[in-house]
Amino acid sequence: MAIEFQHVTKTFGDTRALEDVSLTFEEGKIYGLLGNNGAGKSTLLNILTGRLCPDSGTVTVDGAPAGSDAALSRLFLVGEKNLYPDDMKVKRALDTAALFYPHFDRAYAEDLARQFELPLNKKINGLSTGYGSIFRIVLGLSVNTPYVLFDEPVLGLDAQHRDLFYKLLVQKYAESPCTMVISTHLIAEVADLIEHTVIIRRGQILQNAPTEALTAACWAVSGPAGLVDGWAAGRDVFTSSVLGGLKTVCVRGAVEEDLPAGLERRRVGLQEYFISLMEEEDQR
Amino acid sequence: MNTPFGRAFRYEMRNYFRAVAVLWLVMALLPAAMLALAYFLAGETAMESSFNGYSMAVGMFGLILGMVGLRENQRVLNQNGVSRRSAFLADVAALAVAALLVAVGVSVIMGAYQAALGSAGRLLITDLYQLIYEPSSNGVNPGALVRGAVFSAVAGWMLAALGQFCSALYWRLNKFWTILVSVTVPLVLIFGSAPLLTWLDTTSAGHAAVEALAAFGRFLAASPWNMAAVLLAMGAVFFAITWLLLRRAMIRPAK
Repeated sequence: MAIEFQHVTKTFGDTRALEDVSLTFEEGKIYGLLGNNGAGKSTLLNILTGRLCPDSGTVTVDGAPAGSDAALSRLFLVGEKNLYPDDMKVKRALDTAALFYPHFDRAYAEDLARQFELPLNKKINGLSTGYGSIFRIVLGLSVNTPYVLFDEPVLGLDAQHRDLFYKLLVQKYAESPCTMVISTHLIAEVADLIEHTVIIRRGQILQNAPTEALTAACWAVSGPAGLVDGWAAGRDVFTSSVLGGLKTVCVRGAVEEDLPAGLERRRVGLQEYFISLMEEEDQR
Repeated sequence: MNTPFGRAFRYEMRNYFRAVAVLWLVMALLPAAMLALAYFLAGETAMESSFNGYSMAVGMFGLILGMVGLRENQRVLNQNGVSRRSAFLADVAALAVAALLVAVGVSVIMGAYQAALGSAGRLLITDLYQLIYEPSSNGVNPGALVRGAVFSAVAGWMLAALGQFCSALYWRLNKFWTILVSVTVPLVLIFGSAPLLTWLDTTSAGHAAVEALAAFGRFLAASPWNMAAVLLAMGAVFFAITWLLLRRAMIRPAK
């Protein structure tokens, strides 16, 4: 039981949004789908939800072709923008979700709306950017489908509401495990949540591995530039930065605990890993 | 009915029914307003008036629902886990039911007015069907009303299909083609008619075309069932083309 992309390609005019992408989202995991703007994340999610048709390749949800009733009923996309009519009220959108998703938890949705102070009687197009995101989050957390996809879920949300969302997400996952795919630019905020990271760049999958495996294999070593250069010679350095006389290099592979005096090592976080990887790719 | 199609149909019917109810209300009040005008403003010297907008109202209603409903339904139903195929089929079915409801409703309203006013009324209440196929019928003729309702429903459904086709066409066209089609079609219709009439008048092929058209017109006028069959066929063709345009169209939020 999984979402499977096999050799998916999609172009828009001269732009190749996805190129021979093969990828699997397994059941019961929280995935992070990371990439720069225009990397192809939204295209991937739109193909999965049948909003876009791929030029070639196949996408299936638990064996059913993407875009079919069987596939769509098993997933819910919390997209960047609304697909609801302009004049629909929040309350009516909840009624609509309840009509289509048999496991939609209306009471829980109303409870979430109260927690986020989302007005139920307001029209969706009258909501601010932040409350628009909250509205979509409320739906996403209440539908109870096996797969929930979040595309920039915290767009416009203040810090308090973002924190609340992450807590509710973890709570939901703990109570009823499902597959969640979170596509976001706020990597540092979701780094502790995501179990498996998929990094996409210019329409191609760059990394697809457990988050722990990606970051555990990388270290940042910093110290005086001369010392760092000497220590790093011959190692797999994928990025370096200099601030004043202090140099930091990110290296792949094990780093000994007893570094030469003046050097310090620390684990690379997911965001730092992502930035380093992008910089390395830029230099290629 | 607890399938994606069934749920989509219920959702769409709930939306369309509100529009149907508004149209019923308007069609019920409009002749009353005309009557009020005739009796209270113009007085006894008022000339006879006629009101025959029923079939046309059903047709326009279908056209507009078809135009505005297609994209919005595809969006909201995709968001709620319904495939574009089920959403489209539900739309076709819901439009048929909406057209039928509106047609039956306005026929009942028209019948009620005809019964209330009788043949001596200053306001002649009729519709397109009665004008074309049963112009001599006086007063209330239940059979004519039923036939008129069927005729209006089929016309409304066909025009809904045309509305969907226009919506799908503009959905798929890029900016350049949108402008080109929007400018060219009216220009061809306005300025192309004179050369067409000349051609029809001066060539043997033109004469043959006119004769074929006239024969087709006679066929349509001979029986409302002929007209209904042709409208149904046209509707089916428009829906089929709309599906071809729709099945790979990108579903994205409204701007």
